[in-house]
Amino acid sequence: MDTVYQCGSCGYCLDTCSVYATTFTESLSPRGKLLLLRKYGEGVLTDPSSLTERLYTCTLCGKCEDACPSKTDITGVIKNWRNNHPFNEEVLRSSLQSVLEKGNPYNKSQFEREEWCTFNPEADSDIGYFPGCTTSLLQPQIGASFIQVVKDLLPLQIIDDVCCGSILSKTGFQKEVQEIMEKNTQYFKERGIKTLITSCAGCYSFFLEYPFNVKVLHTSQVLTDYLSELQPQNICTTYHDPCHLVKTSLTSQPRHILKTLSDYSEKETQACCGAGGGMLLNFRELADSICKNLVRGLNPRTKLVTACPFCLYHMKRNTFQKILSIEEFTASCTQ
Amino acid sequence: MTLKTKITMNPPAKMKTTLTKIFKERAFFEPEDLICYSRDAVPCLEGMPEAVVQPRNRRELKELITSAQKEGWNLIPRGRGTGTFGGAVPVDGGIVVDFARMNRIEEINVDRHYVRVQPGCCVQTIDFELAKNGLKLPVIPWSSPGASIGGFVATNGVGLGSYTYGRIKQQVLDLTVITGRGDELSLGSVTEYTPGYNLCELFVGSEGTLGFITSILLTCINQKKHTVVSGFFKSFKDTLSCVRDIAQTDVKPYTMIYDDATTFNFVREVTLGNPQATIEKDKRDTGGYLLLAFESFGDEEKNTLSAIFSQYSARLNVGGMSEGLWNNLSSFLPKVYRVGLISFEDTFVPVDSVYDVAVQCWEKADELSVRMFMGGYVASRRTLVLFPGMVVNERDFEEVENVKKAKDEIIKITLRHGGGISALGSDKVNYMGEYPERAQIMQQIKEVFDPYHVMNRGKLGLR
Repeated sequence: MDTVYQCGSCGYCLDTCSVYATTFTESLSPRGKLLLLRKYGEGVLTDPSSLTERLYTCTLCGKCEDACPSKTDITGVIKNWRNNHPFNEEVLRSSLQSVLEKGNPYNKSQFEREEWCTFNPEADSDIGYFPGCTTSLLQPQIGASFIQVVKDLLPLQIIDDVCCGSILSKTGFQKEVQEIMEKNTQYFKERGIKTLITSCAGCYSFFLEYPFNVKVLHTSQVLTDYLSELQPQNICTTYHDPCHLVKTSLTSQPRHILKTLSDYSEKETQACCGAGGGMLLNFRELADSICKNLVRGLNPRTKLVTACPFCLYHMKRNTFQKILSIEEFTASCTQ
Repeated sequence: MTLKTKITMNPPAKMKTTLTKIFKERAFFEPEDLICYSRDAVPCLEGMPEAVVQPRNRRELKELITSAQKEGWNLIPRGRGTGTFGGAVPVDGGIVVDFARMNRIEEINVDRHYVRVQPGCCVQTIDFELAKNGLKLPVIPWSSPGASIGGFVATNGVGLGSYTYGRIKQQVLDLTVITGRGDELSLGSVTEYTPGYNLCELFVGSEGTLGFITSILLTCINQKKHTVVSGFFKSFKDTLSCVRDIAQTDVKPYTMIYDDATTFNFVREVTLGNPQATIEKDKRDTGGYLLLAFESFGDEEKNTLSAIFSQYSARLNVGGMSEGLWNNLSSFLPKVYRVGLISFEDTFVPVDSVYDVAVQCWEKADELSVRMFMGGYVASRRTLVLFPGMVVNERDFEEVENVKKAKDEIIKITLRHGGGISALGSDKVNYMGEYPERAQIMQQIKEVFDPYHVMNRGKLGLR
């Protein structure tokens, strides 16, 4: 409860919050949410359900925390509430069920999941490539592109039959997530994995929270090692920072790739795409509005590149412009 | 202590119907929405609105005023709710008019050096856009990353740059307003020159009691790189004497910030991330520092300052460490929230009385067991803004009461020394009683613009 008393209403968070910047609704702003929790704690507000909807209207991007001068743990407080107050339970439970039974939150079969991979993995390697559910099922070209670049250079196992549990950790299933983490840790151990490479920003940041002794890398960190093998392209690029990578301070490697292999320019502003934290699942219309604000005004001659399959998927849904993953862009430099 | 705000669950049916008709989904009545407008950045002051609306344009504002005139509603304009004196707090209920959606930059004219903005626009956003054109606002509020330009104008704010360029009223060229009578007026021009009464200045600092500001034309200046200099002094008294000496010269810093040793140590601890930082009151007068930013810093400035500093056995530091201090201290205030909420009492004190005022404030703080730190900045050659900040735990009833008492005492001490207070908001409204004749004239002026008393009733002690 002390955390919610730390907010001094300075308003530094307002413009950093993609939900507030799109809705202008104070009760959906970071400082508004903290005040609601405070008033609930004081007994002024008594109906938790009306708070729950507002506290789920958050991408958990953490940009408000970066701006907060008093460094209030805003996303921590929100996640804590979510763990105790389920929302949209039917839909979220079905995601949970799908993760537990099918190893992905999209209710798709393992057969569909493996369609992207035509590569013969090396079972002996202790390096695992973990594309992540969103890559495999919604943006399979990302995994294929990564393999195209590294297949002759890096011996890899493919681990594409489990979910890391990140989405569940954001939507109130902390207990179940603990079980998934334990199960996955055991599974990686059985497969002899010492290094785990993933294309997904969400998986990457969540694996860093795993209590296991495995080195976790994002594909952009791996690709930077092979730039000398690649051919620079005569195109203009810019980069969208996935929030999960910003939170884990992984911002320079994707830029390094783009600066080396293209005519790169920095985007004027960086904002959350609006899909994360269960927003696309629970508030699709709002998530789309946030994203439309983000992609509006993109220069059509400059290719937007990102390093997260979920950002990519969401942005593609909201613009006709071509957007690339860092893996696709890099693969285009092999020709 | 638990501050409990009474929730008015059901606004009058007619209010709900009318506001929904005008503002559609931008009219809010649910308690969860209303409660978020029950306070601003001042601790220990709350009030629940009956409704909140978010206008998009002047037509909606005019319709709102017409309805308010008929129904006797009280309309409380709000920028981004970052004020430190309760200016946007609906202490007596009413309809909060949130300008969040009237946030456009309407025009940047590089040749004429002006920018035209809507009141809900964030000051930082304006500065960001101006920077692309090589321009900047002359004066920036201390709360810049959060503050709206409308709130800054409505409270006639001072801030970074005020020593050179004055208050915000000196930067406003024109205001478009809708008065409480419902008239839409332009009060100035793109030049500084308009005949007769200065109606623009009348609205600047009127705290939303005369009408809604819908468009603001502000002067801009060319961007300049700052040179930051600083000095550490043996005592707070020496620091303030040095400020006084500098103010008597022709040296013109863009801004001058000062703090006592206790505050400096406290802020340093806080900015280093120590939430347990304490205010060591026994070290108060054992030192002080001065931080100055210059838009133009040459030999004349350097020699003058060095000579003054040396009189107090202080060394002038140019750039380097001073730059680091500037980055930390020019925006330190909200960082202090890591320790607890802070109640600020910004008072305007004559340059030669600041030390006496500070000592008396410290004595009162000790008497009331209030955790007080002290600093401020120089507003003009004559005036220093003294910023006693008091750490307050809102759940501690005794501390809340003591901080309230301390705030009253600070104002009394300031007034006794010929000083003044700036905006009143809801927090300091009682002090209008110190100026009964002025209050009477202000009421008469209010009657001209707001004869139906729909605009921010109670603020400035007016009906």
